[in-house]
Amino acid sequence: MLILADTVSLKQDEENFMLFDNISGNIYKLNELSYEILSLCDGKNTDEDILLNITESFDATITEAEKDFEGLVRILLDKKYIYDNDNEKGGELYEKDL
Amino acid sequence: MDGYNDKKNINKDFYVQWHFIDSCNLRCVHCYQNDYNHKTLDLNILKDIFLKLDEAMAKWKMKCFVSLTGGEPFLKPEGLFYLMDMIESSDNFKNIAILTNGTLIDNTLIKKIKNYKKLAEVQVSLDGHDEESHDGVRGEGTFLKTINSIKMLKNSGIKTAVMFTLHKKNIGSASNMPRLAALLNIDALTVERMTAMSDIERDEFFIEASDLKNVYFDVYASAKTEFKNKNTKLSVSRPLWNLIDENAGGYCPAGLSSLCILHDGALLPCRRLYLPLGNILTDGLFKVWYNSDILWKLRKRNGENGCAGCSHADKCGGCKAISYYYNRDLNSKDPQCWI
Ligand code: SF4
Ligand code: SF4
Repeated sequence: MLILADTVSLKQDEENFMLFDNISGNIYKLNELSYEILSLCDGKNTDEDILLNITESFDATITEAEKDFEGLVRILLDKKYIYDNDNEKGGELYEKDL
Repeated sequence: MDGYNDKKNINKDFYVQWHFIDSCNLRCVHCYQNDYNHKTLDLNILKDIFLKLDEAMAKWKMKCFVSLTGGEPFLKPEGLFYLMDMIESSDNFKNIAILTNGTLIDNTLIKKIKNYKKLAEVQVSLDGHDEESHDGVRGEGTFLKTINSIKMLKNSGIKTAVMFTLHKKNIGSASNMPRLAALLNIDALTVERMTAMSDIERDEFFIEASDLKNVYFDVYASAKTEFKNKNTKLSVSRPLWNLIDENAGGYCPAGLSSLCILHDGALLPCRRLYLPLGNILTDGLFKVWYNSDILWKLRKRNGENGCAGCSHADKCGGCKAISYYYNRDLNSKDPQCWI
C-alpha cells in the first residue's frame, strides 16, 4: 500500500494545495485531485480504496481516475515522495510492477 | 504537478533577525533576554546556521535582509565580523543591519564595519530623551555613551537609526524623541511598543489603548515639525500606524516573510513572540517553515482573525506578539488598538 515518505508533507491553505519536500525545499502546487490522492496514501488504503474514493469525490469514471492516479504515482515514486509499504525495495519495484 | 518554489517571491526580501550572541553588558528593565551569561561563541554553529539560511534563500530565490544582534553584538566583534564576511560574499543576502545598545562602539569598530558594502544601517536603542529617562531603563551612564556612539556613527557616514521601545515607564519621553533624533541628525527613528510577556510585565509596562493613541498622535505631530527640512524619517511601517496616517503602517511579517534565529539555532516567529518553532540546525529551515502550525496560524489573514472587516486590516492587522501575550490567541485583536 502506498504511503507518503516522511521527508515530505502536504498542506492545504486558504486556496492552495501544496506538497513540500522538507529536505530539498522544493514546493509543488497540486490540484485538488492530486492532493486528495496523496492524502489517501497513508499506508492503509489500497490502490482500489483510493480509486474508489476519488471516483466518488470527483465524479470521475474509473478509467479517468486510473489514468490520473497512475500518472501521479509514477512521478511521485520516481521522486521517492511515496513508497509502497508492502514492498521491501520500496518505489523501484512498484514502478516496474505498474 | 508543478515545481514552483513560490515564483511570486522571486527577488523579494526575507527578513531575519539573528541573535547570534545571547550575552549582554546591560540589564535593561524591559529586556526579552532571560540568560545574559552564555559567554562562549561557537563560530562553527554560526557557520552552520548561515549555510542553512543561505540554502533556503537560494531555493526560494529571495534576498535576505539580516539584522545581526544579541544580547549585544559588539560584545563579541569577532563573531559579528565572521558573520558579516560570510553574508557579504553571498548573493542570497542583500543587506545587513546591526542592532546595538551603542555602549561598546569605538572608532576602530566603526572603521571596520564601514568596509562592508552590504551594511545598510546601525540601529541604536535609546529608551529616553534624556539621561534620567534613558538611564532609568538601561542603567547609569548609558545615555551619554550611547549618544556619543550615535554621533561617531553619523560622523563616519554610516546610516544610523534609533529604536525607542515604548512602555509605561518611558511614555513621557516618547513625544520628545523626534526632537532628539533631529538634533542628532540621525536617519530614522522608530517608536515601537514593548511586548509585555507576563502578567507582572503587563502591570509594569502595558499602555492602555487610549493612552497609546495620544502618544502615537503626539510622536507623529512632533516628527512632522522636527523633521521638516531634515533627512530624518519616522519609521511607521508597523501595525497601528495606519490609524494615524493612511499611507503608513504595515502587516505583521511574522510567518510570511520574516523569522528570528537565536544564538543556538532555535527559531522563533519573532523575537517578541517566544514560541519556539524548532531548530535550524537539527530540523532544517524548510521543515519548520513548511510545517509549523504556529506559522500557519500566523498566515491566516482572511476573515479568520480579530481584525476581520476592519478597513485598516491590509496595512495593520495588529501586532501578533502583543495580541498573543494579552489574549493567548495569535489572531485576536491587538489589545492596544483604539478603534
Ligand atoms: S482592528 Fe486590527 S487591523 Fe483594525 S486597526 Fe485594530 S489592530 Fe489594526
Ligand atoms: S509579532 Fe509584532 S513585533 Fe513581531 S513581527 Fe509581528 S508586528 Fe512585528
